[in-house]
Amino acid sequence: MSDFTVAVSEKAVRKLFETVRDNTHESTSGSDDLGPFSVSWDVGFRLENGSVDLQSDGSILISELDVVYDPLKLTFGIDIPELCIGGFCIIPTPFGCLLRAPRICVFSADPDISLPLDLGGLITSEISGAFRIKTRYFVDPGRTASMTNLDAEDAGVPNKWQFLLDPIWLDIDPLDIADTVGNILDQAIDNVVDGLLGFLPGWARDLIKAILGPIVDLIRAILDIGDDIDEWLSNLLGVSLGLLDFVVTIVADYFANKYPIFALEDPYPILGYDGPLIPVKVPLRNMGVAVSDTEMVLAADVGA
Amino acid sequence: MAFTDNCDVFGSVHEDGLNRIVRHLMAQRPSLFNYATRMFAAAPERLCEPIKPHPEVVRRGNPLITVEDPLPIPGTDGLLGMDFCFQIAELVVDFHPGNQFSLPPELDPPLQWQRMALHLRVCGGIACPSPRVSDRYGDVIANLQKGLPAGAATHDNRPAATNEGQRPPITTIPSEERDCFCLDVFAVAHFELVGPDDSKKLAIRLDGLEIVDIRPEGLENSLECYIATTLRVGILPRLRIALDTLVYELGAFATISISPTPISASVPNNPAIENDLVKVFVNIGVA
Repeated sequence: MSDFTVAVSEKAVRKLFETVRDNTHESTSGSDDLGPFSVSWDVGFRLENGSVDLQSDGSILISELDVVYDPLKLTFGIDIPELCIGGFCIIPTPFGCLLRAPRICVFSADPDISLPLDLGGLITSEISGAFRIKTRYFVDPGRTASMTNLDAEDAGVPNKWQFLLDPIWLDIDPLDIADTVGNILDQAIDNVVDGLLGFLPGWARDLIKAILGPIVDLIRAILDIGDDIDEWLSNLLGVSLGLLDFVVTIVADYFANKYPIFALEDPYPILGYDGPLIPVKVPLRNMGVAVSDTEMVLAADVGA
Repeated sequence: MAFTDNCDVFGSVHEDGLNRIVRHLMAQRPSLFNYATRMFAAAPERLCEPIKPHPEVVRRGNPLITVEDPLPIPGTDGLLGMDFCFQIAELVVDFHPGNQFSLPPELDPPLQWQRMALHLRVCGGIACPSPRVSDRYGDVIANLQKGLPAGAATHDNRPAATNEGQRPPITTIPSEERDCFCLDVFAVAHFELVGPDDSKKLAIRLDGLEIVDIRPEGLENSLECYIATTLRVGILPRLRIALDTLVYELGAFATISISPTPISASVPNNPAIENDLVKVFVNIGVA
């Protein structure tokens, strides 16, 4: 029998899981030049749904945990080839042109169009995985050889028993893009085009549209959207912008020795400072965690 | 049966682990177990039992001893006293069923259900002045009292303050010798959760105490009363564990607070003492 035993019920584990899930928010931002267009992003994610189960084989199973990308704000910078109309000669003479039509050029800037797209909450991916809890004795690298345990505590670099998630398997599904995203993108492009050409006189706007054909198609072509907007967006977010990598990295950090889910100081202070009196600390030995299908049990001994 | 069938979190401590904790406590906070006058504090080698402090206690200049006033000598109007020391040299805890030591008959062995036994080795001593030195101080007191005007003594028979609000300190009679004794003290106790619901503390309550082999019975009873009162009033209250301090930060995500699981048919004792363990059943809140 261990000197200390602490058991946490599966119900309590679920409560903790739900709390962690509901309070998880991560975000990042950046920009990139992807050749024909540029993109900047402000991307974050939160977690929804999913469940946790303690397994009789000693593992903990997390099922169908949704990663909801929110916020997900993309701003595309699109450079449309310059197009000039007019400037042709209305009244030619043997000595040159007496009267020319006015020349109007559009899409001279770079980029010509800034296309904001707010897709917050419309794109998800799903995580499932099984893991074990691993204990590790951590000596803080900030602790010097001459420090006593109390010096280390005072300096905020005490030794610790850490508890980490050790993955057995981990599955992160590709991005799941809501059907409405295509419509949102088309509508955003329409809005931008209307605003972009709004300053032109009606005849010039009609002429440009006649020359270019549906400008929406042009922008889609520049963005290389193709027929399948889901595939395009998935590729853009997942591969070009590395959104999936962002999530995988954060999740993997918790599964890869980077962030312990819990830690206990060693020696553990059972009484704190009392005025000038030093804290009373007891060494913890043989720390271990066992999981059954009903509870998670932590056991430890007190060192001499 | 799982540990947590009737609670969110179960915790237990085995008596062997607790006894190691007690030894750490005695080494790292010796002033909780050693009481003496200033003379002993300045010369701890004269104590009845040597103290073995943790090196950090020495390095940080922590006191080995809680300094107490000298033992007053009756009839000296509170002017004179004697140096003394009182030490808990050893403390062993035994949770039901008793198997670490045998209880004396006065405590109705075997150890009762849901109870723990304590074995303390208590040592004490008085720095006893030689008769020659005592006589000399007696002469001084006699001369002093002759010179005191009527009514100079206060209601508690000590001389009036030389300055308002101040009394002369007790002078200890110097001594080269000290007489020591050690007693085996046995006690039976239990755990209780005390305090309001939102700040429960785990406290030790003393049920009975017995000193072995002291005669006459009146002296034994008086000493038992003194030691039991010292434990109840002076030591055990300082060892209470506040459950509301057992609050954990779950990373940046949440704060976990714990509260004792209410007593019920499925949790008849909380804390419970059984199978050489003290067990605590708690529920958690997450905020």
